[in-house]
Amino acid sequence: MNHMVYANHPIIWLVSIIGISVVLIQSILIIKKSIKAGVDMGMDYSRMKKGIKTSAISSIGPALGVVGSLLALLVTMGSPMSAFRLSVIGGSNFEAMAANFGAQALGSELSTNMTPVVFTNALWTMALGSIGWIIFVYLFAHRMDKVNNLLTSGRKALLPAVSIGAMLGSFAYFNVGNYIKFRTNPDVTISAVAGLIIMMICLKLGEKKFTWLKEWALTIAMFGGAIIGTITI
Amino acid sequence: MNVYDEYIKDVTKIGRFTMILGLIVSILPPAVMTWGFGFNPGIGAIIAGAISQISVSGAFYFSEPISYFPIVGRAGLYMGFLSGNLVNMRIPAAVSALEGSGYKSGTDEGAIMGTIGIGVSIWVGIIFLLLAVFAGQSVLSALPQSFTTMLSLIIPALFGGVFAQFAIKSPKAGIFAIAVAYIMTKAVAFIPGQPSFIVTLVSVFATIAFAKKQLSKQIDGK
Repeated sequence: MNHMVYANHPIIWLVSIIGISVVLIQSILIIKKSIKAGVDMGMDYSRMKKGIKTSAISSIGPALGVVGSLLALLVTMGSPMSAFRLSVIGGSNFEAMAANFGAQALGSELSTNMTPVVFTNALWTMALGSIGWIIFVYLFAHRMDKVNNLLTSGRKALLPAVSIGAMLGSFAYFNVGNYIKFRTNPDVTISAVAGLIIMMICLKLGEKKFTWLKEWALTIAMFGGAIIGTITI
Repeated sequence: MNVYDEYIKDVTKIGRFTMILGLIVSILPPAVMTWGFGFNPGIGAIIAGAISQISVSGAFYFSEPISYFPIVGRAGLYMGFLSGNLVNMRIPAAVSALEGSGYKSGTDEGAIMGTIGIGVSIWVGIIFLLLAVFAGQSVLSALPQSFTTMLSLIIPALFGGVFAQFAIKSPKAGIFAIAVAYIMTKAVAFIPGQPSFIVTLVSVFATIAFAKKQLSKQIDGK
């Protein structure tokens, strides 16, 4: 018996929609609270609107990247579970790996033709492998202000350095990871370097003359970099 | 209590409650398959699969929230980890919201703006996923190969762009971060099991220390 009957079953669709709704509802609640708090604190509403617009525009590229992962997952796990997994504690690289581990535990592998039991075990591994993150966040997120306090030695003026340092540190690691792929996946390295250079140019130009460029800079950098990587190799 | 503290208190309530809901809905699909449809793989297989995955991801349950907290704040952790795709979607969206609005990271206003940006990216992400699902497998598989290659290269280019955005503000810290990340990546390759989470932790906290030193020099110099 093929698992696809169940992978596309109305009940699985329902479960998928319930899960995605939780994420959407949480973000509505927090967005509303944030806007209200911002206005109460005297933040400029038109500047906030500009921020919303810029983040919406810049999210299109990454969203298409996630769609790329969806295409890889769709064939074996079916539509409802693929969309669910990438929306709830989703990780582009995580999902296929987890599903594979689940199938392997039964001596099988991910395919378009699995037994429903193998499909079920893949779902178990994806679920149990990802809840660790939200359990940790549930337990510790509200206690982490102490970390910032410790890092700034109590001087709030140093907080910007903490967030900039964290950004540079984590994204330097991701970029280095892409640079050292130069021999095996040169297209990845070229895209990473091209994205960096295009972004620098856009921000320099956007500083004075073309202020509209700021909103589009990241989008231009990610698509520009990806296209350059695709055509040069 | 001021407005911001009040706000954080409310967000914490929403955040912790939705973490529990997230836990339940995550378990729901395999639970329905196992007990609803009766395809029970057995506790042995369930644990075997979970252990394989946890041995890969386990360290990241700790290292990622700790490393990203200084970037996205408490509200960002609740939203970012419930929805996932933190580094490739949520952080870039938070950063873009700041860029567009002009509020600074590390301030209360910046934290609020970044949080809104993350929320917006969640909606954009899910809308695109659902559009892709309803476009159907047939349409999607008809796309040319070069297009799917291009999609997979968006993320590396995005990482380059996000890095540039901050490196342009503090070039010295940027170069320092790349050097540390490179040395750590090479060093960790010699450790059995190649625990890559160490690379993130060390490069994040070393760069924070470096940026802090620079900023305090700047402040004290004035």
